[in-house]
Amino acid sequence: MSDPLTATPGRFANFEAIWDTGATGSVITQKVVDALQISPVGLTRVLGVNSSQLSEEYLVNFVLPSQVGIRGVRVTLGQLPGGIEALIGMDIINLGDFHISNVAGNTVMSFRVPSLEVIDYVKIGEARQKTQTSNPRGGHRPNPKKPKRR
Amino acid sequence: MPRDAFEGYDEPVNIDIDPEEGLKILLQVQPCEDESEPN
Repeated sequence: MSDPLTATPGRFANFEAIWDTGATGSVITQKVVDALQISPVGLTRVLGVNSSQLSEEYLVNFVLPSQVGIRGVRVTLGQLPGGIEALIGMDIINLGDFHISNVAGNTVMSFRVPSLEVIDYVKIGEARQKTQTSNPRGGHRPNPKKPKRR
Repeated sequence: MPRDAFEGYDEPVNIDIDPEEGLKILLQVQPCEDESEPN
C-alpha cells in the first residue's frame, strides 16, 4: 500500500491499518489523534510482553473497505511500526466472521459483520469423508468418449 | 444511493493480501461524535 491518504483533518482520515488477532483492543497512533483533532476520553493500563503502562483512550468510528462501519470504538493510543497508524484488534474481529484462505497461493482475507456461520474445517472434513464412504465411486461417471469394448 | 456504513450489513469484505505486506488495509477513522453510544 502507498502512503496514508489524509482527508479533511478533524472529520475523517484514511490510514494504513493492520489486523491483529493477538491484540485484545484496537490501537491508533498520535498521527491519527492529531489528524482528527480528538480528545482522550480516559486512561487505561496497557500490558505488553515486558511492559505495563497507562495510555490514553479515544472514541472513534472505523470504516472498513466496502463501507462497513463500526461506530464508537474505544481505542488506545500507541506506537506502531512501519507506517502503520491503526491496529484492528479482537474488539473488532469479534464482531463478525474473519477468514483467511490461501487457494493457489493467493492469500485472501474476508470479514463480515455480523457473524453468520461457524466455519469448522474438522466437521467439513468429516462430512466429506462420510460422503465418500457412502458413495465410494465419488459420483464417477463413465467417459462418454471412451469406446466400448465389443 | 450509498448505504449507511453503520446500518445492518452482512456482505463480506474481501481483502487481497500481499504476503510481504501482511494483513494491511486502508482504514477510514472518524471522530465518534456521540460518546454516549460506545460500541
